[in-house]
Amino acid sequence: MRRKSKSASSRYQGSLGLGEESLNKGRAAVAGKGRLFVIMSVFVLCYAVVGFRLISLVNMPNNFENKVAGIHDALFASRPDIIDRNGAILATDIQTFSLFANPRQMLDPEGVADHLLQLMPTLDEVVLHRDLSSGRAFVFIKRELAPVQKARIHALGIPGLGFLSENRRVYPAGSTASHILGVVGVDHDGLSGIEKHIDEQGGRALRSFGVSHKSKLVSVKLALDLRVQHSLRDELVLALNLYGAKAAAGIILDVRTGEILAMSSLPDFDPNNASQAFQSDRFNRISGGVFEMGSTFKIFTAAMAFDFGVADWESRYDAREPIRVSSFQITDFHPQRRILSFPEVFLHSSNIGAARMALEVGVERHRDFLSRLGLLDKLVTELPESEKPLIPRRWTDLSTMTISFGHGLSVTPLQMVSAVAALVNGGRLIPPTFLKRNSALSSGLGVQVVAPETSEMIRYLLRLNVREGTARKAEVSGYLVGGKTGSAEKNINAVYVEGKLRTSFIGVFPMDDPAYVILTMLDEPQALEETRGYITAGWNAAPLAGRIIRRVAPMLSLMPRDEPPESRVPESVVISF
Amino acid sequence: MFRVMNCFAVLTIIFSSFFLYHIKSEARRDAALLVTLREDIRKEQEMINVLKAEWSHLDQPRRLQDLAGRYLDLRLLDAHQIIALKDLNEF
Repeated sequence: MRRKSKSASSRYQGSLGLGEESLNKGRAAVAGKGRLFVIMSVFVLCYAVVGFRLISLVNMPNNFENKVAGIHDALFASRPDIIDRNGAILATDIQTFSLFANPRQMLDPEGVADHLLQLMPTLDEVVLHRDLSSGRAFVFIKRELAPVQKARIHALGIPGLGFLSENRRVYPAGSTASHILGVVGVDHDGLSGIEKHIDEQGGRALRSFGVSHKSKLVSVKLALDLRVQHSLRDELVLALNLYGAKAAAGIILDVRTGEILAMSSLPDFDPNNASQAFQSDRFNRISGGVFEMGSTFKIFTAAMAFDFGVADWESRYDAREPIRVSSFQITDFHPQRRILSFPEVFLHSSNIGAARMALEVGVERHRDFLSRLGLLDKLVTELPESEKPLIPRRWTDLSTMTISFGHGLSVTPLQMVSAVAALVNGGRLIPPTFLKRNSALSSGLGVQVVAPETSEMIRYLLRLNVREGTARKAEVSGYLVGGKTGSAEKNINAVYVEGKLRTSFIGVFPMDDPAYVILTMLDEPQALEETRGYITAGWNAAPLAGRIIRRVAPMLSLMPRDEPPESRVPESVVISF
Repeated sequence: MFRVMNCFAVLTIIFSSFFLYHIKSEARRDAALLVTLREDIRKEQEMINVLKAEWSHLDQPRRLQDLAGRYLDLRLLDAHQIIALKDLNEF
């Protein structure tokens, strides 16, 4: 039993010894294989990483290069271009170069000076020689070089000369559209006009955060038509000189979309020379100044009376005697001294008739009506230059009477034009804009402020006034002009000065399907032989508008046409003239 | 077996390191080319901008009017001189 157990144990031991040996061998082999496997997988992993990185390097875009290019582009296009409705450039950035020198690096400063003088004869020879032999490390030689000049100087290969590039805002049209465009300051920030509007819209913020070169700045497209703008300004300049006026202004607005096609106010400035822009008499008279507009306001009085149903074609107004209210007396400029019909009040521009008409409507409704047309609130457009209307502190019966013929309430000509556009386009008041609007958008814009019938009546009155009334000299054959003149005595230090008029004309064309409204304004026009000594609007502002319409109507692709047959108005009224 | 695998690994190392350097040098060359191309494009765009500004300067209605007044015998268009194409049938 013991032996058995011993043998068993020795056998066991033996087998164990033998087993241990072979087991050890097997273990070593397994461990070696395992280690190898681990090492191999580490290597494979390493190569996989390297391979993956390789592939990703090949496929991934190079971010660094993009960043560099982005910075370049941001510097390069720091302000968006401004273009007109047809794509003509009104404002753009161009890169210019400034030439500087480091005279210490120059071998022969005198020779360099001679070379430079040959290429740029306008340089001051004495100053150049002095600068180059000064021994300073940095001198500016010339700023704002054109690329061609830069290339020529670069080709000289002179050591010690270098270039700095900088952006410059240029306005190729010069003063043509100055008040709309505005100016930029030395830091390229907009100071007035659309330039300021662009900054306020976030263009400025975009720039300071750095614009990626993929989102290039989009041009700002204006409603302005450069050809129309030029024609308007050209005629205004001629008129300013012809009539010896102190100032002149004009605007053309599309009554269907509210787009401002042209706007000019003289004296103006050249936006390339920003310092002129803020001289006091060069302000924008169309949107940045308020005026008592005079008789052109009778358009609103007539529309109001008609729209409230207070007046119709048969209404009569007593204009035999001036109206006296306390110390104030309302008289007519062309006294008829008889009872006038509704259209006659308009045609003879009777202050007495207009005052009676407004009184019949009443103070409350009068104020309400003018407010509906936007004449009592500040008009907000893209231009920062916008003036608040001057409203009487207490709106009395007398206020209503004077405002009925355009005194006692001062508004901007732009408000005036926008309100008249609403009266002739079927009654929709559309907010005016300097930016291009697409027609689909503008068809939904605007609020109905008067009945379409009122609009119809105003069209008729305006056309009649050009055919037979005070605005006959605004007629342009083929374009069916309608309009109303206004001659307001200027209020200087709260006194109305006789003989100093601000004349204006508001016209609409073509009257059978109104498309555009035009306003012309002259400050203190003088009497001429051609005007037979008159200084009222019918002799200067009205013919001026006619000349402008004659020039621009073909550009606006309006087909000239003959007068449509009379149909809108009762026979009796027409006969009464 | 191991020998084959080792050989394969060594070959892979040689091949992939060659491939790596080849691609790297190619990428470097392309990057340099890209920079010069971008710079060229930028310069061209700047030049286009300058030329556009110059063109619109020359194309100003004010300037054209002045030139036309000096060299051409043209007068202002009158409304009756405009006729629609459809009305031309009779001629």
